This record gives sequence, structure tokens and C-alpha cells, in this order.
Amino acid sequence: MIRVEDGSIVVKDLTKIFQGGFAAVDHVSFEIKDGELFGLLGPNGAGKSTTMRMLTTLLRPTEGDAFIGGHSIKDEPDKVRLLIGLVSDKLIVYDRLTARENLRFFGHLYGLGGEKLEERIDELLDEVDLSRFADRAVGTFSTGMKQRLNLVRALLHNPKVLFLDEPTLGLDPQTVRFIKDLIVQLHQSDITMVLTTHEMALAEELSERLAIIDHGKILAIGEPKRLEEENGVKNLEDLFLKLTGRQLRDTLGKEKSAPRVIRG
Amino acid sequence: MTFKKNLKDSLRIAQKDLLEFSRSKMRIATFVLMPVILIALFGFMFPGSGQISHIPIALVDEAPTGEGSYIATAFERLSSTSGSLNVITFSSVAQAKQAVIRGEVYGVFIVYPNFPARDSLVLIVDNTNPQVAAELEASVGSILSSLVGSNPSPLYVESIAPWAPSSEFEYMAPGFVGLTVVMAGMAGLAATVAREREIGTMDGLMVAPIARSSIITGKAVAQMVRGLLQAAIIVVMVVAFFGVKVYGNPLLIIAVLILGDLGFVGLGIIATSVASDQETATMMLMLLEFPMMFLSGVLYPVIQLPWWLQYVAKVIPLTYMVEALRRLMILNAGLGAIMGPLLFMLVFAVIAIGIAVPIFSRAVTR
Repeated sequence: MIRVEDGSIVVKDLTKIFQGGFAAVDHVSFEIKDGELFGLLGPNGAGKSTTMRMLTTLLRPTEGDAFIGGHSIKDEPDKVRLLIGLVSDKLIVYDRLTARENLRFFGHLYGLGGEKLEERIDELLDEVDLSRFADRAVGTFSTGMKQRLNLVRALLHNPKVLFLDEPTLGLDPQTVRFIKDLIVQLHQSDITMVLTTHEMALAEELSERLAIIDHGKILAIGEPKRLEEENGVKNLEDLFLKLTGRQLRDTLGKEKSAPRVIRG
Repeated sequence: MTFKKNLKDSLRIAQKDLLEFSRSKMRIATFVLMPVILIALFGFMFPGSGQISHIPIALVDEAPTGEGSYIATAFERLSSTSGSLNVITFSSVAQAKQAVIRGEVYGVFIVYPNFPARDSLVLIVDNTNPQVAAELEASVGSILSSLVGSNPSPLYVESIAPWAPSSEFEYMAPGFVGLTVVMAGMAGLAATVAREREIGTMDGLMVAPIARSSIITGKAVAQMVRGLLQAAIIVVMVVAFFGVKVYGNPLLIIAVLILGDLGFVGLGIIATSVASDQETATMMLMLLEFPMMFLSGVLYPVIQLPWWLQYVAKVIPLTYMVEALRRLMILNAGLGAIMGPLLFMLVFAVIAIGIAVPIFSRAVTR
């Protein structure tokens, strides 16, 4: 039973067929519990980003639906948007605005304002160690600083669910560690998180449960350790390669194969 | 680094750019269409001397009896035979002048009862349109010389405008004001939307709990403000440095600019939604902008165009915007005189925005 406005996610037969008939996501169903940190892994073009974009209401499903906090992404996207935050490798910050102006702008879009918003901005900037740069144009920031700002931008409105799409892509080890610690900290505060990444070690370390997706279908879903044991592999990378193959995926295009589904 | 190597590297980069360009069908289509349309337009737009015909002119006969009584009838007959003028009869000079201000006729020919005294035949020309005014003066003069001889000429020519534009530039100034706002609304909006989509910040707006229409409306307002500021700069410059006098209610002028721009903002949104990237959107819009600039009366009077291009001009909303601005800014016309153009702009805006917003919403979530 779904508790309304919690951070649970229920995905039912979610499908996205693009022009030309290519099914990027093919009748995918899974559930994520309130407060869970869930990894969504897959090779390039597997369908994980398309799934993320549908769950964040950026893309309309062709078939099926998903419910976030009990709200349909198809029928109640506005209610869903109030519950979610999105952090992706594409930095959602404006270079010509200062850090504070960026946060103020996005805060206003979520209906925040006044002293409360300013306090929240100060608190968040402090959390990611950017207070000193609050009034500097973001264009002068390093990529790592921008990603830290991008992360707190997504947290402004206290979302119940945070979608992290390749949040550590192209960052230095120090920033990766910082973001990892922040994710752990957020997890302790019971925010549901969906993480996509190509960094298997990061996914293995952080995810309570994960799904491996390929050719638009889920190949395996469950706790990382349990999935590894069941498949007789020693780590997540081996599991990933065992299930998705060793071929260079980017050169295979949209070729389809019959996936084997494992539930852990 | 030798010169030869630099040249080779430059050629490699040029080759790569052309290869990239050749991979986009939409860009190739606009690339071919642009010169074809431009040269066809210029070819047809510059007719030989005397080819402007059927210029609408008001005739007011103040001497239905007496010596000059035959002039009005003969003028009407000769105008029709020569095909140079389209004569529309009015019962009073005031009514005829209003018709000029509304843009229905380009001049008023008045026959006074004191004919053949000097100044008994008066031609009031719409001097907001210097080329047409000159053509009208020549045509009326030619018809009169066949009627009354040319020496001494009883024809007195005066201008309808409170001031007489002294150059073509003064005729063009209101058109440039309109064009600037439209360009900012259309191309500026397309560029900003395409840019946000490409760098990814559009996702941040799309996941926020706001209506899709708010995103596009906000962006349109920003572009409009920019366009209006640029228009203000043009007005200040033409007044301060080029001696142009600007009449008309400033609020009414701003209202025309905003209403006229709305439809073009819609076109900008449609191009942005259909195009895959910023460059393609810009090329598509240039394909619209260039013909519009030459056909809408910004640079040349619409009546100078061949008849079929005049019909094209009549469906271009910028024509109405420029016409309204010219009447407001030069002729000091009131709201009543520009109701027709305003109505056209309103219909265009409603249709364009009505199509654009759902297309944009679909395009960003496809």
C-alpha cells in the first residue's frame, strides 16, 4: 500500500517508443521503497536515462505509468515535480548569475521566497562549502564547484525523491568523495534516491538495491551482494559484464537480443 | 609552423565544417532557399520607372458648377484610362484626409471653385511614403497638363504629415523600430530556448512545478523587453542625430510593438520546437525574416511591388505593424485610424501563439 506523498516509486509497464519504432524502454516495472537508495545501471543506450527522464516528467511515456509518492507521472506531473529533485551531469546552473542568484531563482520556481529562502540558501551553500563564493558568477567556478551548487539547487525545496543522473561524471576524486558523502548524508535523512552511474564501485558502495537495464528491459534487480552471489561473480562490474555482455555497446546501435531476467 | 601547414589545417577545418553542414537536411534546404527567395524578390521588387500603377487617390470636387466643373469628371476619366490612378470620390476634404491617415488612399486631389486661379487645384500627398508621393505627383501632373496645359500650373501640392520627411530614411525609421522588436522577439527567443536546451538548463525549468506556458511566456517577455529597449535606442538616435520628428502617443506605439511582436514570438517558438538545434532554428527564421524585411514596406512601399507580391505583403503581419507605426509616428494618427492593422495583428498573434505553445510543450517532452 502506497502512502500518499511519501518518497516511494512504483513503475508499471513503463514504455517509451521513439519515432521509427525504437523501444528505448520496454514495459519496465519495479518498485522503490520510501527512503531507499536505488541504483539504475546499464550500458550506453540501455534505456536508463530515458527511464530517468520519464520518472522526472521530462519525457512522456508511450505506455504504462509510474507513481511517485502516489502521484502519476502522466496525470499529475505538477504534483510529482513538487516531490522530486534532479541532479544530472548537465549542470542546471546559469553561468552569468551568481550562486545565490541561481538558488534564489530556482527557489522562486518552487514557491519559496523571503527570509526563509535566504536562510535555506545560506544553509545549503554552507553545506557544500560555497558560502565564500555565494556572490560570484557561476561561470568563474570549477566543474566540481558547479556540480556542488547543482546538487544543492536540487535540494532547495526539500524533495522527497532525488534523481541523480551521472552526478560524478567528469569530476575530480575529491569532488567525487564529497558528493558521495553528501549522498550518504542525504540517505540518512530518508530521502529516496535513484542513482544512475557507470561507476560500478560507486553504485555498489551506495545502492541498497539496484537494477541492471539493457535494451530497454530490466535484466536483474535486487541487493548488489545477493545478485553477485546468485550469479557467482565477485563484484558488480563482473555481474554487469556477465549480464550485458562485453561487446562495445556504442557500436552495436539498436540491435536487440533476448534478455534474461533475474530477480534477487 | 609553416604557412603551408597552417593552410592545410585551415582547409581540414573548413572541410569538417562543410561535412557537418551537409549532414543536416533542414540546413541544406534553408541554405538553398535563402538565395533563391532573395534574388527572386529583388528581381520583382525593382520595376522600371512608371510601373507603379493604380495608386489609390481621393477626389473632392468643391466646384460642381462653374468653370472648373469639368475638371473633376475629366480627371476621373483620364485616370481610369491611363491606369495610373484609382480614383475614389469623397464629399469633403476632411473625410478624404482621414482616408489618407487610415492608409486607404495615398493622396487627395481637390478642385476648388476659383479655378483657373492659382492654387485652385490642390494635391495633398501622403508624404510618409516619399516614393509613392513622387509617383502620385507625377501622374496627377501629367493628367492635368493634358487637361489644362502646364503654364501657368494651377496645381498646388501639400503634405498630409505635420512635417515633411526630407529623406527616404525618415520614411524607413518607423519600419526599423518595428523590425528591431520583431527580430528580437523571433530570433532572440529561438536562440535562448535552443541554448537552454543544448546546455541542459531547460531540464531544470521543466522539472520545476511550473506550467510549460510560463517558461515560454517568461522568455518571450524578456525578449520583448530587450526589443523595446532597442527600439527606444533607435527612436532616440533618429530624433537626436538624424532630425526625424516622432509624433504619436508613446503608449499606443508600445502597444502596437507588443501586439505586433506577439505573433512573431509564436513563430520563433514554432521554429525552435521544430528545429533540432540552435543553428537550424536561426537559419529557418532567417528564411522568414529576409523576405519579410523586403516585402512588408520597411524599406520600400508595398505598392511598388508587382501585384502578386502585394498580395503576399498583405498576409505578412509585419506589413500591418509597420503601417500602423508609420501612421502613428509620422501622421500622429489616433487609435481609430489603425484599428484595421491592430485587428490583423491580434488575429495573427492568437493563431501563432495558439499553435506555438502546444507544439513547444510536445517538443520538450518528446
